[in-house]
Order: sequence, then C-alpha cells, then structure tokens
Amino acid sequence: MTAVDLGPARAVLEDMAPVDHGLAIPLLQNIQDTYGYLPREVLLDLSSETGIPASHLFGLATFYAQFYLEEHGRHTVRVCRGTACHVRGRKIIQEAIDDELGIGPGETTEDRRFSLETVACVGTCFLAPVVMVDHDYFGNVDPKKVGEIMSGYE
Amino acid sequence: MDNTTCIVDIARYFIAFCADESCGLCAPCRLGTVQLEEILNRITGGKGTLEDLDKLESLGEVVQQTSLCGLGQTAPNPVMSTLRHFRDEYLAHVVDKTCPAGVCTALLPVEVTVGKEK
Amino acid sequence: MTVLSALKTVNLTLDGREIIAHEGDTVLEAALTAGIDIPRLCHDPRLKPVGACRLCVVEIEGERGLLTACTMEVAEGMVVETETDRLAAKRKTVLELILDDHRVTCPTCDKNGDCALMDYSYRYQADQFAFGGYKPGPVEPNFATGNKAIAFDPQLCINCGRCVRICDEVVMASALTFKMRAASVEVTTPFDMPLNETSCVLCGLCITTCPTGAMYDRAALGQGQIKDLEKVQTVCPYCGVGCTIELNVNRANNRIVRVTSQVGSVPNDGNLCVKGKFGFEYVHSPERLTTPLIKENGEFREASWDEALELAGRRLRELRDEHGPDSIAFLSSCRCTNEENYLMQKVARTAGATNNVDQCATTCHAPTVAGLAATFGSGAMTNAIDEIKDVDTLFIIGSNPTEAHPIIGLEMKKALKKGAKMVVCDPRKTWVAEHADIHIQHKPGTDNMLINAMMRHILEEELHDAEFVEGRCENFEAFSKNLQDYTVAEAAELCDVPAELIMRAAEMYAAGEPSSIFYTLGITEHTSGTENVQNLANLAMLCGQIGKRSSGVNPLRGQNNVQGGCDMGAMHGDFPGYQKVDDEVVRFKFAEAWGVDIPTNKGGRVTDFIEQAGDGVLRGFYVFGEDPVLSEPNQAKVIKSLENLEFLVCQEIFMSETAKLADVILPATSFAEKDGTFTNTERRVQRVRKAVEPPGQAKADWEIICLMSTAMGHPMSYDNAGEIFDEMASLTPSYGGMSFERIDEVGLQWPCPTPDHPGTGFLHAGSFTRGLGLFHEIRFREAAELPDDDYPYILSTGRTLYNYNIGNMTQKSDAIRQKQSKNFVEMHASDAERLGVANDDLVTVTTRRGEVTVKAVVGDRTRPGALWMPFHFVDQPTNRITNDAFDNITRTAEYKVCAATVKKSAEVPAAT
Repeated sequence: MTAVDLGPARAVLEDMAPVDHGLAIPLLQNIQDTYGYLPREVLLDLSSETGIPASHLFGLATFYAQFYLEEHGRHTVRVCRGTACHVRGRKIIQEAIDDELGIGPGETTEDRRFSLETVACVGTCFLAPVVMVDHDYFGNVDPKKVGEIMSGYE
Repeated sequence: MDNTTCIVDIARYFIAFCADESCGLCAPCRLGTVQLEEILNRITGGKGTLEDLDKLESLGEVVQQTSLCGLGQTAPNPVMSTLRHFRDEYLAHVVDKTCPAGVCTALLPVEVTVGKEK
Repeated sequence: MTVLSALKTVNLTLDGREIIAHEGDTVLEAALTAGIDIPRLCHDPRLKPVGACRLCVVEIEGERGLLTACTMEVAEGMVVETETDRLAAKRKTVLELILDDHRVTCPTCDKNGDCALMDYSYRYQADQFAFGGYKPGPVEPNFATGNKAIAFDPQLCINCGRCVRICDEVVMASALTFKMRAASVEVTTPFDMPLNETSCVLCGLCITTCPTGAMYDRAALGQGQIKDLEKVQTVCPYCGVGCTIELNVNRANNRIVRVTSQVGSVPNDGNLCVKGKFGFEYVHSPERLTTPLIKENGEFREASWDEALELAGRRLRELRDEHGPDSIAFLSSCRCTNEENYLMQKVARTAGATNNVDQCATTCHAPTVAGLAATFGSGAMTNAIDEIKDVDTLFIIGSNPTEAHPIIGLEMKKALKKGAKMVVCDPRKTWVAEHADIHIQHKPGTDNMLINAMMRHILEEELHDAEFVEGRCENFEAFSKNLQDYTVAEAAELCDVPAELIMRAAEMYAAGEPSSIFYTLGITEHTSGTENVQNLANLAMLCGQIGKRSSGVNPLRGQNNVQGGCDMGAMHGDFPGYQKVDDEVVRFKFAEAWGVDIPTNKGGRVTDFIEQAGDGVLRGFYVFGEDPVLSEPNQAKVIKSLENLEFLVCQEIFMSETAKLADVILPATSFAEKDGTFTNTERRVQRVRKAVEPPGQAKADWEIICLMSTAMGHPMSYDNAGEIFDEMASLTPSYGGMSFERIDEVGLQWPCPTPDHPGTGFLHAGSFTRGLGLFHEIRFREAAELPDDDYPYILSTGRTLYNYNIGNMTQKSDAIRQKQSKNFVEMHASDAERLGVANDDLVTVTTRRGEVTVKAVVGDRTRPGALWMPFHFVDQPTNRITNDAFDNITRTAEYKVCAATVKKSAEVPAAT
C-alpha cells in the first residue's frame, strides 16, 4: 500500500491557517474534498500540526455520515429515505440499485466506481422517490430505469 | 399519505430515523428510541402484544420527559400521537394480527401479498 | 482569586429543608453537601457536568419539565424535590434501559461493592429484563486488548463518557473518544489504536472514574470483588507529591490487588499517575529478599538474623573503635519513613559515634536545602500544592512536572485552564514547554547567566517590587552591583536564546498576580547547584513574589520521603529539624535525650563516602535502601571504591547492584509492610500504614535499625513506629505539634510547633524564617566538563513518566515494562541525520568515563548538539558515563552536563 502524500493536506492547512479546534469540521470537509476520504495518516499528521487531539478528529469523522474513513467510490449514489420518498416506494428503488451495482448501503463496488448510501432527506420531496448521484438529482425514479442512470457515470 | 399508508409503519419509520440520528450522549434517547423501534418492529412483524402498547406509552413518556435535547424530547411524538389517534390500527396489528393498510408484509394473507408485489 | 467565604450565599429549599449554598454551586453539589444522595452515573466532581445519564433529574417549582441537578445552578428561593414517586418511576425506567445494554454479571464482577449502577438499580428496583435483557455478542478485540495496565470491557460500558472526559479535561492527554453515534457509540482510541501507541499516559484515571467495571485494572481481574477487599489508606512510595492512595488488599492471600484513591483526597484529589496506580507489583515480586545473607568466599549464603546482626554490628563497631569516627558511614534511605531516617541518624550518632550520615538529597535537592536555608532560612517548598491552581504566572525552570511530578502537573493544568500564563526554561521541549507562552530553550548549564540577565532587565525597567526589597530583604546593594556585569545580550549569546524572549519572560514573571517559581533537578544537579537555587530565591525576592498565597519558590522534591529524610537530620551537619550539630545548645539537648556524647567529627556526604572508600579512609559502610552503584555518577569508580571497603552491610528489599558487593544483606520491608510517616514536597507529614505482611523473614526497617544499634553496642528498641515519631517530635520544634493521631486523616504541613497548631500552608508570610531575605551575589560559572572536539555533545540525564529513578521498583511491573523497558538516548534530528542514525537505531554514547549502547529516539525534543538519557535501567546504565563533578557546597553531582560523543552502533538491535 502506497503511503499517502501529506502535501495536499499541509496545503489545506496553510490556506485555512490558523486552524484551531473550532475549525475542525471545515478542516475535515476540505481534507475529504481533497483526498476523496479521510486517510488515517493525514488525520494523525493534522493532529500533530494543529494540536487538535487525534481522538477528537476521529470522533468527529465517525460521528457524521458525510465523512468516510476508507477509500470511496468515484461516484456516490445516495438513495433518499425521507418520509415522502419512503411512502413513494423507495424500498423498491433501493432493491433495484442493490441488484444493479451488487453492493448494499455503506459499500463500494470492487472497481471503486460507485459507493452507495441511503440518506435521511435531500429536500426535494416533490420529486419523490429521489436518487442522487454525486451532485445530480434524479426524481420520480422508475426502478426499471436504474441501470440507465448508473451507466451515465464512469 | 392515505389509506394505503400503515400508520404503525410510519410511526416505526420515524422512530427509526430518530434512533439513527440520536447523538448518543444521553441514556434515555440513545437507548429508549431503539427500544421503541424494536417494539414497533415486533408489532409490524406480527409479534406485538397489548402489553407492548402500554410499554410504548410509558417508555415514550420517559424519553420525552428525561431526554437532554429536543431530538429525544420529540422523537416519541409520532408514536404517542398515532397511538392516541389511530389506536384501532395498532389494535389490529397486535390483537387481530392484521395490517389494515396492507403494508406490513408479515401480517398479510398470502394471496394479497402476491398481488401487491407488482 | 475567590476564597470560599467570599462567595455569595444562596438560600434554597431541598426536599423541604432550608439549605444554604453558594453562588455557582449546582443543585447536585448543594444536595450532596446537605447529605442528599441524588443518583448520578455520569458525574465526577473533577469534571464539568454534562447531564448525560439523566438520573439526577429533579422537580423544580416553576420550571417546565424535569431538570438535571448536576447542571442546574442554585438560585435564591429555589424549591427542589429530589425524590418523588414520579422521579423514582423515571429513574427506574432509565436504569432499565441502561441495564438492557449492559452484561449484568454482578456475582462474578470485581466491581461488586463499588458499582454505582448496581447500587442505584437496587435502590429503584430496576428490572434487568424489562426490555428483554442484554444478549451479549461475541467478544471482539478492542484498543485495550493486550494492554497490561488498562483493560476495557465494552459489554459493561454504559457510555457515561467519564473516561473520555477525564482524559480530556483533567489529564489533557485526550487519548479516548467516542466513535460513531446513537446506540452505536463506543469508547475507543483514535482509529482503535492500541492504547500504548496513543497519547495515553497510563495514569488509570479512566479506571478510577468508571462507575461500572468497564474500565478496569488488568492485573486485578478475578483477584477479589471490591466488597471483599480491605482498603488500607497510605501514601504512594514514588515521588515527592505524596498522593494518598488505598491499597486494596485481599486478606485471603495477603496480596495487594490494586491501588485506588478517593476523590477529595489530599493532595491528589483521587488522581494518580502510572507509577502510583500500576507500580506496586514489586511488593510481591518473587525477587524479594526473604532471609539475611552473609557473603562467604565470594558467594552469599543464608543466615539467621542473630548471626547476620552480630557480624554486621560487631564489624562496624570494631572498625570505628580502631580507626575513628571517619572510618564508618551510614547511608539512610529517602524511600523509607521518617521514623527510620530519624533512627538512622540516631544510630550513627549513638552506636556509630560519628556524624557520617547522609541520604539521597545529596544526589538531588541538597542544593535546595542549603540554598534556600541561606536565603530564606528554611529550605523547603514555600507553598502548598493546592495553591498551584491559583497561580497566575507559572515560572518553571529545570523541571518537567507532567513527567516527574504528574499530579503537580495536573494542578498546573488546572491553572492553565483558568487562564494562567506560563514561562518554561528547559533545554528540552517537554509538555509544559510546548504549552508555554514562552519557552526558553537555553543551553544546559547556563541558568545563572539567564537568571542574572532577567534580573538585570527587571531592575533596569523598574519592574521589581521596591517596597518588598526595601522592607523584607538585605544585601540588595551588593546584589544589584553584581548584576551590572550581566547583560541580556551576553546571556542571549551564551545561552543561545533570543534576547527578546529573555526580556519578555522576565517581564511576564515580574508582572504575575501572583507568580510562582517551580524548579527541580535541572537547577540543582550542577556544580553550581546551590548558587542556581540562591539565584532563583533572588529572583523571587526581587519581584516580591514570595510570602503570599500561590507565590513563592517551589522545589519539587523527588523521592517520596526525601523531604522527610532531610527533616529528620540524616545529614552530617544537621539534627532533626535542621538544628545544627555545631550548635552547643542543640548538642546538649540531644545528648541529654539520647544519653550519649554527641560526636564532633565533621562528617561528609554520600559522594564523600564513595571517594573516601576509594581512598581507604572509609572502611565500613551501612547502606540502607539506596543503590549508589546505579544512582551515583561514574559507575566504574563507584564500584571500585565500594569494593575497597572492609565491610559493607546493605539493608534492602531486592538484590540491588550495591547489595551484590555487600558482606551482609539484611532483608527489609516495602512501604506497604510497615507503619510510619512520609513527608511530601509541600512539607505535609502523612501516615504510612502496613497493609500486608512482609515476605519470609524480612523485618520492618525501623526494627532492623534498632537491632543493628543494639548489635553495635547501643541498645535501642521501640514498641511501634508511633513511639519513634513521638520521640522525634519532642526534639524537633517544626514537628513538635504532630502525632499519629493528629496526622491520621490528611496529615499536617510543618512548621507545626504545638499540639493545637493547624500546620502551615505557605511560608514566609510577613517575614522570612531567618527574618530578612538575604540577596546573594551569584557569579556565573561554566559547568565542569564542556563539549570539545573529542566529545562534542552535551549529555543531560533525567526522569521519564513511566519509570522511577533506578527502576528497581517500576521495572518489576509488567504494565510499566510493556510501555518502557529499555534505556534510550534522545537526540536532535539534525544530529541524527548527520550521523546516519534513524529512529530506533542502536547508538553508542561515550564519555571519558565509559560507554553505553542504547536505542536512539530521534526528534526535536532536545537542542541540536544535546543528548538526553534517563537513568532507569540497570542494563546499559546511564550513570556509567556521567561525570563525578560536584557542587561546591553540597557535593551534588552534575548529572545535567557532561561532554559526550555518539555514533551509530555496529550492534543489531535485539528483537523485542
């Protein structure tokens, strides 16, 4: 396994300096935007550079669903499980996606093309049931069209 | 939501959401929402009893009154209010072992389930 | 700084009772003080309340809903009900929720007898099966798996968060956190790393605060439920802080199972460090000496007490009779009790008819005793430990408190959290240095230059306390004239520190409201040690930062009873209480009390004894609880000198390196096996209590000393340690008002001259012990051995957190050995790079005295050009290479500076 390059993380730190405890979450968000996830070596290095205890960073990273501690897929598929989507058949959509990608929520495909997660609500209830891929919204999703949606992403 | 929506399933859905979103700091919310969810799982799974309805009420009240923040204090609300206003549906699940809305798969007669799958 | 009586009172009603609380109290605090036991699981008086368990909910008139007593501040006229049927019903349900997430295993749980969860479940009759009952899953490894000190059982954890919080708030190590959220929360370390790889300092506070058995002492598992163990209150045997501890003893097998400490205990408030908590295994080590031993034909054989005592007593007496009082010497032990130290100097002066008695203060803080005695008239820490948290500006020089005196380190952390400023002068980047407002990383051995420059700057900027100087001190003229020879620029050059920092540090100290100086062996273990101390006294007097609460000059004494060893007069020129041997009136008093003529020879210190042994002047040596072969500098010379003795008797608990050279060895007791007292660094005399029986034929040290005295011709016997204490107190004004009864619970700080005197918190209020404080003119002198072409590095030695001094006690602990068991040398990354040394490589460190081969720890803790080594390990012992150059007044060795060279070793590191 290749060692992670700390350079980009140090650059983020410099940009945001001075970084103290209050900026921990924005820091983690920026780091994740840079690496695609939060590598362990980076978090430990950030801790020693900023003085924010590693335990605090780890606690934050595991508390929020938005943070990934493992390498993530190139594309993130988010199936909304909010109230409106729930009553409009999201379970069936869910099963269709599971079949299509061969992974369940919280998992990543072997080729690292997709990671799948369910989220509590994306706020576009008038489009229920909703599926997001990266920053794209798909409304009124037909379970049979799931394959088509996925094929649009390399 | 209409008569094809099972209000007990909705109550379960909401409490499951709160149980998942709970931060975990205080005991009543962290543990109480999970217990409420488990009871509702049992009910929608066809294994509920009348005692479970009492438990939902008394536990719901404890979680409402002793939780540290608004999440725990309001998490039981859907359960409590649906129990109050749609008690018949609950009774159908635990006494008659049926799901009037036809949603809870464990409580559906076989032929209806086949039709629903489409 | 608020004092309790200055806080506004608040009247409220609790359960119908009129209660008077104070502004800022919480309802819970007011209730507990009034004896109302509101249930609580997530509360610890040492921590900020969080209201997580919700058990302490109370009904407050006029408030909507239930509120947690732990977070609710009292208000005038508040009416509170703490125990109603409604509350009981809620608490019962919350407890049932918790029990459903907890493996209920009370009958086989060690915590039984001290489990808050069990107690409250009983009180409210909580049903563990109310929600079906906990179904334990498979046991998975966690962050503590394999750790020999701390163990964690997540199935017992109730997620109260106390362990995480105590590690964050009190210890400031932040090794623990919660991962995940909701019902998945679990206590762990970053990335679930093994505990010993994190910032954890193994203090065990997580265990002490855990309300259930989730966090526990690994070694105590299965050794007895708490309800069946006897708790004996005594004092920790390691450092000079003197934490109050409880030895948990299993009477069935006479073993200490674990060490605990109560919140509220003095001076540590229930807090402990790794040594106090996990370092007691040595008491039961199979290596303990159990019979007297006599050396015959180079080998030791077992002997009876009679035989061993007769031989030892007779030989010492014969040598003294034949060759005079300078031919025998007595080395007393600062690890042992006041009673024993008192007896040792009494034996020396009666049976031994010599003033040749000393103890390990010479090795460390003798310059403090001499230096402060000369400046203030009294050579001890001027303030009490509980005053530290109220210090406004901490000035720490030559001291590493978070490692060497961890509990004092915790008190400093309290001050820091209250906004205290901190100046740290240390050639190394220690924890306090890294958290300081100003870190002066000066060259080792340049302290007086630094201090003189600071004082010159203070005078020049008129930042000194002119009134204090004028009214409470003398010799100011000569002192300030001397300072004219020292400039900040010169100091900046010689100490290799930016001039700006020196000036700002001086200003910060002078302006503190108040400031307090803290120092340890970085100041005393130099050839100018006494002068270094006197200069710190100068600094304090110059700024008027002494003689008031939280302000003074505070030497942090090393050993658990080095303060006592000195107080008891185990020194050639002092009787107990620092009464002078050459004072006729005093001599008469002791002569009367002891029924002998007091010897008149000058006597010497341990470093003299070693030299005189080598010269053949000293022929007989009685060494008690000390291991000079490991603790004195230039080991090869020490061994040669001791081998030259005609007779050496060692009183020991282990076969130490020095004992191996002895003619007779007498097996003695650890602190856990006898009664007596220790005096800690804040002059607090505390009770040491016997908890277990000694192994084999080992006897209490004070008993052995009496038997030795008798064998030497001066009969001595006491019924118990208390009798010895009383005799000593009757002859020692500063201890005069103390007795075992008076010191029973929390001890007393001397001076305590009369039976109704409450003891003394801080010294020198109003006037110094000697009247006026004496300024000294201190000239800077270089260390004895400076780096040169052959030996270009400066080597300093010191202590780490995990091991204690020569390691004979701590290295018997599995938990401590797992963390640190081999010697090492710290070096700067730039030096390491130049030498081709990587972290963990073996290197050979050489001085003119010898060489050792140890692991390199490469980083930026030391200065470039400087090396640092601990002296805890008998294998590759650091004192093989240190310099036997001594302070001009107290003969304390210059452990902090010698010249060395280092290179990569050809050896391959052994697999660990």
